[in-house]
Amino acid sequence: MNKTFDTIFKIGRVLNIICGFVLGLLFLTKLFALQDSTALVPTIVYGVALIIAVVCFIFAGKAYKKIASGEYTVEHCVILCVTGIASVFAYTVCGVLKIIDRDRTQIVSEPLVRLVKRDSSSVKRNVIVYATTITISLLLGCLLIALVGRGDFFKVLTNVFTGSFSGGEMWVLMQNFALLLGVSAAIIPTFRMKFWNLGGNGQIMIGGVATMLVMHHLGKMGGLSQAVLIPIMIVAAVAAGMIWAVIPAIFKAYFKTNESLFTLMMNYVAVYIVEITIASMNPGGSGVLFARDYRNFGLIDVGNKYLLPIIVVAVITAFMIVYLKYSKHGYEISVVGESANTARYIGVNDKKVTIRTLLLSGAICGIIGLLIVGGKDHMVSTDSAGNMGFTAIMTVWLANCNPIAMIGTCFYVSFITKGMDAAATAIGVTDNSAINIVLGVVYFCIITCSFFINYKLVFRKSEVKPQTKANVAAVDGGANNG
Amino acid sequence: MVNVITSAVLFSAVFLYGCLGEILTEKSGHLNLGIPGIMCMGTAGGAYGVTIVMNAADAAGAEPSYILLLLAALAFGFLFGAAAAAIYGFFTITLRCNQNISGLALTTLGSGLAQFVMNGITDDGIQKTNLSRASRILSKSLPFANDLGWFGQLFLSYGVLVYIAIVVAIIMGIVLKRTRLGLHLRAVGENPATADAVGINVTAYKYGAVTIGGGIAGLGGMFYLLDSTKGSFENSSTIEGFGWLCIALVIFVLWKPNVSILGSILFGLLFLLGYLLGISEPITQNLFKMLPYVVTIIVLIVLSIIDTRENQPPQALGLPYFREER
Repeated sequence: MNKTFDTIFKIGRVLNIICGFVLGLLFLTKLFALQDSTALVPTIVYGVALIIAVVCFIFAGKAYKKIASGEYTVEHCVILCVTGIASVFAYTVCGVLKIIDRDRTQIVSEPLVRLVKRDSSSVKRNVIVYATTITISLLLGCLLIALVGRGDFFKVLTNVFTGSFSGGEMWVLMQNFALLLGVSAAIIPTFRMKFWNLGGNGQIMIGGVATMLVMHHLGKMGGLSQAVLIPIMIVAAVAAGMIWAVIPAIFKAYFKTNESLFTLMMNYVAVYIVEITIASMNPGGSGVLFARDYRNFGLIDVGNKYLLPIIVVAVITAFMIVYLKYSKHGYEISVVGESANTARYIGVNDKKVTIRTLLLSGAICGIIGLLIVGGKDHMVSTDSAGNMGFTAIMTVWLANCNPIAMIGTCFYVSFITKGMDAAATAIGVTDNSAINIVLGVVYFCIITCSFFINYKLVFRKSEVKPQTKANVAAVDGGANNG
Repeated sequence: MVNVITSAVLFSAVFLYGCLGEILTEKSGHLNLGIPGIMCMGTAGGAYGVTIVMNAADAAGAEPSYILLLLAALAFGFLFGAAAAAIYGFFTITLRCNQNISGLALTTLGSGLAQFVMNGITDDGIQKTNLSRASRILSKSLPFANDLGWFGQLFLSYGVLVYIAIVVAIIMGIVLKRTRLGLHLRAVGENPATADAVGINVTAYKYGAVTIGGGIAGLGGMFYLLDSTKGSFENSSTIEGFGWLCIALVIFVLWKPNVSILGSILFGLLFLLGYLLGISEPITQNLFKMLPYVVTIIVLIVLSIIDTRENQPPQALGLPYFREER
C-alpha cells in the first residue's frame, strides 16, 4: 500500500467532512430563509449535493478498505475514483451556485419557512416536545457511547438504566439529583429576572470554603463540639454564598455592569480561593485535604449518608415553588424580568428586587456548598461544585424557568449523567471525554427543545403565493408609475 | 528582564488569538462563551493536521517541510475552530437560542471532542513524538536572533506563529475601524434592527464574524500545543482555563484589537509572574494566578461606572435579533 496514496485519501476524507459540514449548514440556512420560488432551486441543489456527498463518502470508505486490505478488484478502484470526482463535482456546483445566488436581487415575499414567536405553548404540546427531546437525546447518547466503545447499542441502553436505578446506585443518583435540584432552585429566580447568573459554581465553592474554615479552625484546631459547630457552619456558608452573589448584583443594579461576565469571573476567583484555603490548611502538603481528618466535624448523617441533602433540598424546592408562584416577591421578579421599565412604572424598585433575589440565590448556593463539603465530601477541592452551576443553567433553561418542570429536568440530567457514566464503564470506555461529548450533545438537544417551545415554524401556504406575487407586482408597478 | 518579557510574549499569543476571535464575535453582538471549547477544538485540529504531514514525511523518508507543517497546523486549527463556532452560530443566529447557554454547551462538547481526538493521537507513541518534533520545527525562531543580542532576543526569538498573531491583530484593528466591512459589522453588533433597515445582511455578517472569530480562537489552542508546551498535551481543562482568560481579556482591552497585543502580553506576564519570580509557596502563587481575573472584574466595574460611549460593550451583545419582534 502506497503511503502517499494513503495520505491523499485521508486528507480528501477530512476535506470531504468539512465541505459536507459547510454544505449542510448552507442547506439549513437556505431552508430557513427561503425566499420565493426562485430560491427553491438552490435549496434543492444543496440538498441533493449533500446527499450525493454523504453517499460518496460512505462508498469511498468501503472501497478504500477493500483496496487497503489488498483484496480488491478493478471495480473498487473505479468506485473510489467515481465517488471522489462526484463529490468534488457536487461541491463545485454548490460553490458556483452560491456565487450566482449572491448576485441575485432580493425579491421580497414570504419565505417558505419562517419563525414566529409563541405567546404561550399548550401543556399537551410541551409534553410532546419534552418527551421527544428526552427520547432523542437518550438514544443519541447511547449511540455515541456504543460507537466509541464499539459495543452493542441495546446493551448500552439497558446499562444506562441498570447503572442508575439498581440498589445502591439509586441512592447515589438521588443524592446527585438532590444537589443539582438545589442549585437549580438557586439559579431559577435569577433567570426569571433575566439576570444571567453564571456564578453558581463560585457561590457553591465559596460556601464550601466557609464550611471548611469552620471545620478546620473551630473543629479540628478549636476542639468545639459538633452541636456548636453545625449552627456556625450554616451561618458561615449562607453568609459566604450571599456575599459572593450580591457583589455582582449591586454593581448590576447601580451601574448596569454586565452580570454574565462578572459572575463568570467570580467563579475563577473562587477557584483560587479554594486553592489558597487548601494550601493554608495543609502547608507544604500535597495540595489535597483528606476526608478522614474532618469526618467528626461535619454535618450529622440522617438515616444513611445520602438522605440529608435530599431532605434539605426538598424543603428548598417546595419553598421556591411557593415563593415564585404565590408570593409578591415572586411576582416582582417576573415583572422585572419582563421589563425593568414596566417594573419601575408600576412602582417596583428593580434595584431592590435584583439585590434581594441574588441574596436568596447566593444563600441557597451556600447551603449546597455546605451540604457538599460538610456532608458529602468532608473536604473542599476545586471540583467540589462539580460544574453544577453550569449544569443547573441547562436544567433551568430546559424547564423554561418553570419551577415544577425544573424537578423533572434536573432528574433527567442527573439520570443521564449517572447512566451514561455507568454504561461507558460497563463496555470499557474509561476515557471520561466520551461523557463530555455525550453531555454536550444532550445539552444541544435541550437547547433545540427550548427553541421548539419558544418559536413556531410557519410554512408558506401554497394558495396564498400567487396573490402575494400579484401584490408585489402591483406595488412595484405603482412605484414605477409614481 | 529580557528573559521575563520574552517568555511573557511567547505565552501571550495564546491569549491574543483567543481574544481576537472573541472580539470579532462580540463585535457582531454575540457573546460566545464557547471560546474555551473552540480553543480545545483548535488544539485537536492543529495536532491532527501536523500528524498527517509528519506521517506523510515519514513514509517518504524525508524531513518534513516547514511550510507544509505550518500550513497544515494553521488550516486545521482554523477549520476545527470554525466548525465548532458554526454549531454555536447555527443555534444562536438561525434558531435564536440563548447565547450564554449555547456557549456553555459548546464548551462541554468541544473540550470532550478535543480530548477524545487528542487521546487517539497521544496514545500512539510514534504520533506523540511526532507532535513534539513538529512543534520543535514550528517554534523555530527567526534567523539572526542569536546574533543581535538583547534586540534579537526581544523581537526575533519567537516562532512565526507569534508574528502571525500580531499581524492578525493589526489587520483586524484596521478592518474594524477603517473599512466599510468593519463599520457594517459594528453596526450589526450595536443595533441589528437599524443595520437591517439600512440594507445590511445581518445574518451573513453574524455568521461570518462568528465562524471566522471561532477559527482565529482555534489557532490559540493550536499555538498552545505546538509552540508553548512544545507538543505535550495533558488534558483539555488547561486550555479551557485559557479560554475563560481570553474572554476576560476582551473586556480588559475594551474590545480593541490593537490594544489586545499589549493586553495579552500583560496577561501572559501576570499568568507567569508566580513562576518567573520563583515563588514556590502555594498561597502566594495562587494569589498571583487570581490576579488576571480580579483585574478584569475591576476593569468591568470601572468601565460601567465611567460609562463613556466608546468603551462600552456592543449594545446588542447577548441579545438575539428577531426581525419580526418589536
